[in-house]
Parts: sequence; structure tokens; C-alpha cells
Amino acid sequence: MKPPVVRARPADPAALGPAFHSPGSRVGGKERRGSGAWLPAKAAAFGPGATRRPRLGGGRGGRRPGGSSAMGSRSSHAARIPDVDSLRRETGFSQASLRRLYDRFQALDRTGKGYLSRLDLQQIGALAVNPLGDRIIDSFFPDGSLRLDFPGFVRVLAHFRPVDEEEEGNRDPKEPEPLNSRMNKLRFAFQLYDLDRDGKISRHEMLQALRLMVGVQVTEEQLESIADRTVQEADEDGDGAVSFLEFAKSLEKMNIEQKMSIRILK
Amino acid sequence: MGVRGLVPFCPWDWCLLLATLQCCGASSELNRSTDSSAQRELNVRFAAASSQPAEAISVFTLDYDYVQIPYEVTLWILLASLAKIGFHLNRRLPRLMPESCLLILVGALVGAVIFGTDHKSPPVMDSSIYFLYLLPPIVLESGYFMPTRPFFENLGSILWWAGLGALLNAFGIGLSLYLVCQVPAFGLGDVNLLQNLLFGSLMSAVDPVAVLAVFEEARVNEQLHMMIFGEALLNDGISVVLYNILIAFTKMHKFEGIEPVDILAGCARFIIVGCGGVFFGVIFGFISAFITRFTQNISAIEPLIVFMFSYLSYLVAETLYLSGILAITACAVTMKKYVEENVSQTSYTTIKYFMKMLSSVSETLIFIFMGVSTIGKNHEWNWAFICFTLVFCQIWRAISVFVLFYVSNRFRTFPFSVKDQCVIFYSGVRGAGSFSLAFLLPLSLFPRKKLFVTATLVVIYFTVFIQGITVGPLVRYLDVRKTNKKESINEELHARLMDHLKAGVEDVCGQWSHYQVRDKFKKFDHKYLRKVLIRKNLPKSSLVSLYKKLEMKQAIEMVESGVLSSTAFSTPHQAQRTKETKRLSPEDVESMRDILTRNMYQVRQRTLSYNKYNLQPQTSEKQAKEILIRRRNTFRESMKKGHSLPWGKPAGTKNIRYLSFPYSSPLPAGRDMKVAEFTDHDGSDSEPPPIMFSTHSPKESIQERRWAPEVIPMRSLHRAGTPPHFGYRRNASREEHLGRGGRAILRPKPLFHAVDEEFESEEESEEEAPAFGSLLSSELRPGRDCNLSHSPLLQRK
Repeated sequence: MKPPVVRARPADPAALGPAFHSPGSRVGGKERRGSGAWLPAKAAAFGPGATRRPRLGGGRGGRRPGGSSAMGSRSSHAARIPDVDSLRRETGFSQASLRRLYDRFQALDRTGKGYLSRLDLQQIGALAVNPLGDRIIDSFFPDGSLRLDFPGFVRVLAHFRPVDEEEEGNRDPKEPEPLNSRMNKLRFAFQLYDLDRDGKISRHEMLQALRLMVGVQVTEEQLESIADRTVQEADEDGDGAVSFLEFAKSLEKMNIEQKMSIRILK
Repeated sequence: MGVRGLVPFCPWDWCLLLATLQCCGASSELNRSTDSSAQRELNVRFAAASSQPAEAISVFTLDYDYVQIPYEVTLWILLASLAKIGFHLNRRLPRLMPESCLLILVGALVGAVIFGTDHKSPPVMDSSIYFLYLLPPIVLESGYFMPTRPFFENLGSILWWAGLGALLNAFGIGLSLYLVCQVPAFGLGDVNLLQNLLFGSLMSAVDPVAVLAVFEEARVNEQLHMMIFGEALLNDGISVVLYNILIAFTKMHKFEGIEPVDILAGCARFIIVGCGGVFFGVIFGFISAFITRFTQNISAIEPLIVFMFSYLSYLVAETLYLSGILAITACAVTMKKYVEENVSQTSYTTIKYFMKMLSSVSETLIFIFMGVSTIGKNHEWNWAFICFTLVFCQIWRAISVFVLFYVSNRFRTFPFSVKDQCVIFYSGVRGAGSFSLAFLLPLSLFPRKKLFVTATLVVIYFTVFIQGITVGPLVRYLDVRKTNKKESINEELHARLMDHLKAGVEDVCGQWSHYQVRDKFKKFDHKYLRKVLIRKNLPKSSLVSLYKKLEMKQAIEMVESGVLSSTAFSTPHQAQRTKETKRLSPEDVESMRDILTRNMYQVRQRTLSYNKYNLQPQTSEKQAKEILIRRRNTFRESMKKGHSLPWGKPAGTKNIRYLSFPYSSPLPAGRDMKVAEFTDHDGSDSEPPPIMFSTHSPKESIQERRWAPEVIPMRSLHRAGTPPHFGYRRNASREEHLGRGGRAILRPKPLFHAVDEEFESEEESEEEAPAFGSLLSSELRPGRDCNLSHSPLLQRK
């Protein structure tokens, strides 16, 4: 893991002007906040369409003496997250989590361009030695896009939010399934296999995944037969490929909710 | 020996044991028989040394006394080493019991031999030998191998648990034993409070790391690992400080009464001794890190610097009556990070191995001293005291674990489960530390020292053998994941994929630090410390230093061995295998699952597997190398393909098919895979899109640049081959880019071999591969890539 680069953070919430500096509203992450006076302005400036997110006029220049207390820089981040409320609703993350994710997002975005490129993710050392590193990175860039903005980043990570029992109970059945439902988690894993996005894991795709995950000691021949066997085992309709339903069925005994949840993403 | 008999041993073990036994026996025989002759010899020598000329030069003389102590110590260590070899030749044994069991048995064996042969003066441990020579290596080793980062992330809990836990245990055991001593029926009336407290303090020195190896494969979670490790690390220090203070009190008590002021002074001293030790350790750590900055021309001295400065920190702290243990721990922790980046790869390895070796020698010696003192006449067996000690040790450990974790869980983001607490409770194995402290009690102050030693020995034997052997099964039992062992191949594979996925996403999320202090330190570290302490010519990131550590030679060897093993099987032809759907027997399925479980890459862990007595090649490190190399290779494959495609393949129907290929598909991650696709293009599905090359190469080229120095040809190739970044990604006329405009861009600069300007056929581009891949692409490529990469040729024929 690479320690995040130290770089000058926007100095101080005070720099945002009096309208943005209302300490009470930002410190407690839990309190529910309606869109305050500052939010629409934010949304207008940094809406989802905006590809390049300007770094709060001149704040980047340097830290002010005495102005950048830890709490100060923290709350200023919260202020800069675009579309906090809709993101929260969509992903179910708490505000504190979003704030931390935003910190992380900015730390990953080395050059401060406001979005992440593949390169940014590839700079994460541990991912470089993850056998599935490239596929994981690719899953952050759906539809072949080259830029990952913060909502997209959070949306991917939302798949890994632990399932909350209560939340599950109160959920309105009419609403779409939350991103962290069992099926969505499974789907996320499934698309790591399904490279051509045809909704099926072909024998070939299975073999490719195996190649990535198995050490060099295993011969190609063995891998092939393992791939054959794996497909056979899950394939119920005999089309020589594993559909998503078959995939889900083969894992029905597994505790996906636990396996695909990251604790820190509460 | 009884226990040993129960355990299935293979013949080799017996051979080794017998051999060593004989050696040992012979030495003491020798010792006895030469006692008198040596004496005479000595006389002769002295006589010779004085003025008279030698009357007769004896042709063969024997002077055993001269070498006795080192000779015997050497034999002991050898014996222990041979026993260890035997221990590890047996596959099942190391997972059954901790290695300290074996060492204790060897010690008992030596003790028996010494006792049986009535050996007069075996080497004995005394206080200065223990504290000056035997203890520092043990502490240094555990400090150095501690995973720094998780340690500091859990620092609060570790300090709370290790510090308070040791104190609670010491005072709990001491006070409750004091109450027991008040019962007249037990005949322990003369053991006073201070002595009991002292006994409690030495009993609180637990050595939980010794059992870590036993349940390592059960994959304890990181936090639990860190708590056990942290306890082992700090606990020694704390109990030794307490022990020394109490000894001082006892001495004082002999002459005068202890007043409340003294107790307060003792508490203050406890804190000063601890903090002072840490302070000196940190100072010396920084000094040694700073010095290794300048050793690039004389790298043989690097390990020496590390060891000497650690030892110096210990000695300086001890001189000032501060805690040397904490000093050397702090020194190791501080310097490790910087030194590892500064020193060369070989020095790094040397340091690691030497440290392991020293500490295991120390510990072996302590266990042998223990064995020697176990078998002998110096015991005082008091049922009440011993049984109560055993009981109180368990009770107080349980109390301290459950109480302290109950409190610390309230402040933790991720609390410890009851299972974790049970494991921590159960890992309270006493070891070399407690014994040494008990053994070194001054007899003048402790008339009942024998009683204490006996009780300590019983507790050690009980915990090491009974708890040490049962902790593995316990962990496995508590670990529910392991219960449903029967998994289908699908489950096995998907579960591992999800683990990797989870780990990867975790890495993307980063570790959220809970401490502002840690963030501050990180900034400070980056801004000042690293600049001062780390060599200039090094790249700044720890990632790069990882790559630096991946030695090319080893890597080549590894992959070559992979090539050998996989080329032994001939890969069947494409056509044959795709259509084959033969039924597999259950045994085949079983063996497949077995292959998968053994060979799938492990999920990365931040706490490396730790074995107190051995330095295993870290599988994670090996695996990281392998993955990196494979990525590099497959990337090279994709490079080749990128070259062969635009020129070699006629841009016809296939490209149209390619256009229909959804751009939205995620870029295939494994570069092997593209090679594989390439072979497959008679089949219906995927055509290797040439654009892969261009989308991959910008990012890859930067990665390659970071891997830089080893593969210079590759690097410059990528620089040359970096195509314009955006632009033609969704550009329908990319054909032109690649075919014409791209040609100039994509063409590698001629590096070592003059590459012909016009490549017309695939054969040529295939031959070109070794040229720009330097030796690597031809030799390094794992077998399956090797087979596949030539498949365009095969298909043409």
C-alpha cells in the first residue's frame, strides 16, 4: 500500500465563505440534513455532468498558517462532495463514510483532476499484486469509460456495504433493490468472469479466470479440465456456459452477504 | 519421553535422535573419564610453563576442561537443531504442537543425560548471561518481525491489553496466592506478600507467539494476530520491569520497612523505566537508520550496524536502569522501516535470517537450561501452591481477557468477538521468559526459590503441552468457516474470486485510519524523516521498494521451474479439447479441488505468517513476484500481438466483426487471456481487438517504467510505443491509426537488434519477439503462454 501523497488541501472551511461555514451541520455525520442553502449551488457547479471539478477557487494554493486544523479540513471535505443526499439515498452510505470515501477518492486522484483514471487505481500497490487486479480496476470503469467520478466510485463500492438487517426489513418493496443486496453482490462478482457481457460465463471465460487465479505450477491441461468441470458442474441447461442464474444457484449455500461485505464501509 | 512415544515418528526422526543422543552421551562420558587426566595435563602444562624445560612432549593430550562450556553448548544447540530437523521432516507434527514442546523435550533429554551421568559442572545460566546475552536477541527478533502498520493501527488496544493485562495478572496471581499462603494447613506461612507478588509478576510473562504457528493455517484474523503478537512483544518488557522493581523492594524490605512513598516511587519508576527505554530505543533506531543511508559501498557492514545499534540501545538503557527490552523493541520497530529500504537485498535477507537464528539459539539454550533444572534434585513440591498457581494463572488470564476486552471493545470500531477472546485466553502459554525469571531469583532473598521454580516449571509444562497442543483444534473448532468442508469446485473458485475481489476493493478504499496522530506522523514522516533517513537515489514510494526487492534472478528461476513443469505435459490441440465432455470420476473432481485449493493465489494479508522458530519463505512474497512476472509476461505477449496484428493480419472481415464487438466490454484484465483469445478466433466469440494494445499500453507503460531498471529494453519500448491517449478509442477509423499512422508510433525503436523496417509476415514478427523482449520474453514466459503465443503459426499451418 502506498501512503497517500501529502498534498496541500484546501485550507479551511472559512475559505469557502460564510455561507458554507456552518460548523454544526457538518460535524455530526449522522444527522439528516436537508439540502441547505449551499447545496444547490454545489450541485449546479459540480453536478454529475461536470467532468472537471474545479478545486474551490484558489484554495489549493497552500495551507494557511494555523487555518488547517484537522477538523477543519475534514468538514470542508464534506462540503465539497457533490450530491451528497442523492448519493446517500442511492448507496446507503452514511455521511461519515461518504466523507471518508471522498478523502480517499481525492488521495487516489494524485493530480487533482477531479476524476480517477485507470492509472490512478493501478498505482495502488496492493492491487498490482492482486491476481484479479486488472479486472477489479475494470469493474470500476463500466462501459469502457476512462473516467471515474466520485458518484461512480461510490456506486461501485456500495456493492460491498454490509447488509443491514433492519434496513432490509424496512425497505419499501417498490423501490429497486439496494446496491448491496445479495443479488447485486453476486452480479458484481459475475461480471468479473463475464468479460463479453453476454450474461454467460463461457468455458473460455472460466478458463481465463482460472488462469489468473491459479499459480504457474498447474499445467494448462489441468486448468482446462478444471474449467470444463467447473462449467459442467454449474451448467444446468446444457448450453456449455454458466448463466447468471446458474451462477447464483451454485453459490446458494454460501454466505454472500458476509463474503462480499467490507466492514469499514458501514 | 512418554509424550514423544505417543507421537508417530518416522524412522528418520529416530535416527537423528539416536545419533544426537550418542553424541551427547559421549561428551559426558568423555567429560568424566578425562576429569582426572585433564587435571594432570594441566599440571604438566603449568610445569612446562614454568622454568623447567619440558621433560616429555606427550604425543596425544586431551584438555577437555579448556573447551568444556562452549563444547557442550555447541552440542546442545546441535542436538536441538537436529531434533528440529526431525520435527519438520514429519509433516503433521508441526501443526499438532508448538515447536517449544520439542525444545522442552530436548532440554529434558539433555537434563536427563546430565543427571544420569552425574555430570559435575554443566554450564549454568546466571543472571548476567540471561539479561545480557540471551534475552536481547529474543526481544529484538519479535520486535523486528512485528508487522508495523497493523500494530500501530491497533496500538491503543494492544497497549491497553498487554500493559494492563500483565499488571492485572501479576497482581492478581500474586495477591490470590498470598491469600492461599495464609492457610496454615499448606505450610506456606513464610512466603510473604512481596515474594508472592514477584512470583505473580514472573508468571505473567506469557509467550503466546509460540503457539501462533499451530493455528496459523486456520487463518486467524488480522486483529487477533496483532493482539497476540503485541502481547508477546510488550508483555515481556512489562513483566521484567515489574520483576526488577519488586526485587528492589524485596531487597529493601530485608533491611527496612517499605513506606507508601516507596510504593509511589516504584510506580513512578515503572513509568520512567518504560518510557525511558522506548525513548532510547527510538533514538538509536533513527541513528542506525541514518547510518545505513551511507553504506551503499560497503554493504557487508549493514547487518552489523543493525545488530550493534539494537544491542547498544539495550545496553545503554540497562546502564541507566531503564528497560532494555522496551528499548531494543522500540529500536527494532523504528529502524526496520527505513533500514529495509536502505540496505541491499542480500543484507536484508541476512538480517532476517541472522535475527531468527540468534533468537532461536537463545531460546533453545534457555529451554535446555530449563530441562537441566527440571531433572534434578532441586525441587520442592507443594501440592497446594502448585495447584493453586495453575488455577490462578488460568482464572486471572480469563478475567483479564474478558474484562479488558469488554472495556476496549467499547472504543473499537471493530470489536473482538467472544471467539477471539477465547483464543487469546487460551493462548496464554508460558515460556522461556517465566522460567528464566524464576530461575534467576536470588536465593538469599527467596529461601523458597525451589518451590517457585517447581511451580513455574509445572505451569510451563502444562501450558505448553496441554494448551499448546489443543489450541489448534480449538481454533479450528471455533472457526465456523471450516466446518462445511465439502464445497463444489464452483464454490471453491468463486469464493476465492470473491476474496480477491474484496481484498482488492478494500485496497481501493484504503485503510481508514482512526487516529489523527497516525495521519500526522505520516505527514511528518514523509516531509522530514524519509528525506533524512533514506538514501537519495531511491524512489520514494514503498511500492517501488517492493519491486526493488523482487530480485530478478530469483524470479527467473521461479518462472523457469514453472516452465519446466508445465512443458512436461504437451498441450493438446485446440480442436480436440473443446469438444470433449467426458464424465469425470469423483476422484478426479477431488483431485481438481485439491489442485485448486493448493494452487490458487492466496488473498493478500498484511500480517505475514509468522513462525517463531523458523523463517519460511513468505508465500505472499513469492506469490506477489509470480503475479507481477506473469503480468509482465502477458503484457509482453500483448505487445507482440499489438505488433503482429496491424501488419500481419489483413484488415478484413475480422475487423468488421471487431467493430461489432461492444466497446463497453471491460478491458480484459489478464494479458494471458488475450493471447488465449487469439488462439481461439476460429471459434465464434471473441476477436482480439487490436485496440487492446493501445488502451492498455498507456497505463502499462507507466507501470513498466516503475519496474524500470531490470528491463530496460522493455521500458524504452513502451515509451516508444505509447500511442496517443484518447482520440481513437471510439474512433471508427482506428484502423488507419493502427495500420498507417499508428505504425510509426507503435513501431519499437530498434534496440539491440536492428529491427527490419518492413514486417510482412507473422513469422517475422514472431521472430522479432526475442529481440525486444530481451532474454526475458523467450525464457521467462510461463509454459502456457509459451504454447499459446506460437499458436498463430500453428493455425496457419
